[in-house]
Amino acid sequence: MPVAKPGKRLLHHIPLRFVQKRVAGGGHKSVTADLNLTSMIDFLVITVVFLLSQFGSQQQVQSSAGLEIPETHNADTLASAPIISISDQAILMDGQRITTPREISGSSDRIDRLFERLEQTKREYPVLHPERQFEGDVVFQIDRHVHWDIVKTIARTCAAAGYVRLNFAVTKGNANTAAE
Amino acid sequence: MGGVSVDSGGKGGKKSVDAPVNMVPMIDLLICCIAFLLMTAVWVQTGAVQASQPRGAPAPDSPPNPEQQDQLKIQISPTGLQVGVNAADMRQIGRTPQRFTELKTLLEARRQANQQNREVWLQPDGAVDYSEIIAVMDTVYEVYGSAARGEVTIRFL
Repeated sequence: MPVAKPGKRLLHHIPLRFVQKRVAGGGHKSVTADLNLTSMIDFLVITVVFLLSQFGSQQQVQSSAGLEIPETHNADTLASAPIISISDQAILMDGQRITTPREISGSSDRIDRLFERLEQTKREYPVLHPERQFEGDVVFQIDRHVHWDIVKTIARTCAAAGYVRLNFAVTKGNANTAAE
Repeated sequence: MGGVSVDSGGKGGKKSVDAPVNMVPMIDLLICCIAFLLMTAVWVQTGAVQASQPRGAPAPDSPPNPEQQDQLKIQISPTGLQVGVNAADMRQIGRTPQRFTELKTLLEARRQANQQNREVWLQPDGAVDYSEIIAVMDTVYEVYGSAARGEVTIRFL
C-alpha cells in the first residue's frame, strides 16, 4: 500500500464540489496559527534573567520568617552588609544564632560572640571586596516590638567592632502603621 | 521544529554537522524556571534608614560630648517625645496619634530657623518599642532628606 500524503480525507471521494468545499474548510481562514519560537524563547530568557536579578540582599533580608519589620515612607537603598536579625526569640547574624534577647536583657556589656563574628567579617572584608573601602555598614533587621535597650546593647557591640553605620531595614509603604 | 545549524560548509556524503535541538524540553525548562522564580520572589520593597554611631564602645552612661551640646535632640520615651537643643529649650509632644505630625511641624520650624544644622541626635528610652524610633527617623528623613545622600546625619546618644 502506498504511503498517503497526510491531509483531509473525509468525504473526498464524493464528486460534488460543494461537499468537497465544505470538508476542505470552505475557504475560511485556518484555525491553526504558527508560533515563532525565536521570539518566544527570547521572551522567556529575558523573563528568567529579570527574575534572577531581583534576587539580592532584599531577598535575603525578607527571608527571615516571623519578623515584623516596620514600614516607612522614606528609605534609602539597602546596603550590602552583615545582617543582624533581632526578634523576641533570638539574635542572629547572617542567619546564625548568636544569643537570645533574654540572655542580654538588663546588661549593657558587649556581646563577645557577636563581637568576634563582626571582627572576623571585618577582617575578611578586604579579601571579599578588594575594590571597596570598609565603611562600617551593618544591616539591622529588627522586629517592631523589640525594646530599644536590646538594640542598644547590640549597636554598642557593633560600634566596638568598628561597625558605625547602622542600616535599619524597613519596608517602604504606609508609615502611619509603623508606630501603632 | 526549530533547529540550530552548525554548518561547516562540508560537501559530498560527509556526516552532517547540523545538530537539531529539541525545543520542547528547552521551553519546559524556561517555564519551570519562571514559575519557580515567581513563586519564591518577594514583592515587598525593602529599604533602610541610616544612622551613625561613634566608633568604639562608649561607656554606658557617659556624659554628652561638647559637640552634642548645640545639636537638635529628640528624646523618645514611652510617654511621648521631647524636641530641643538643650534642657531649657525642650518642647514636649504627648503620646497622641498625631505626635508625628506635630514632630514634623516642629522639625520644619527648626530647619527654617537653622538651615545649617544637618544633624539630629536621638535619645530613645530603653523601654521604647523599635517601631516608635523608626517612625521618628522616618519623620526626620521627611523633613531633612536622606542620610545616605548626606542631607542629614542621625546619631544616637
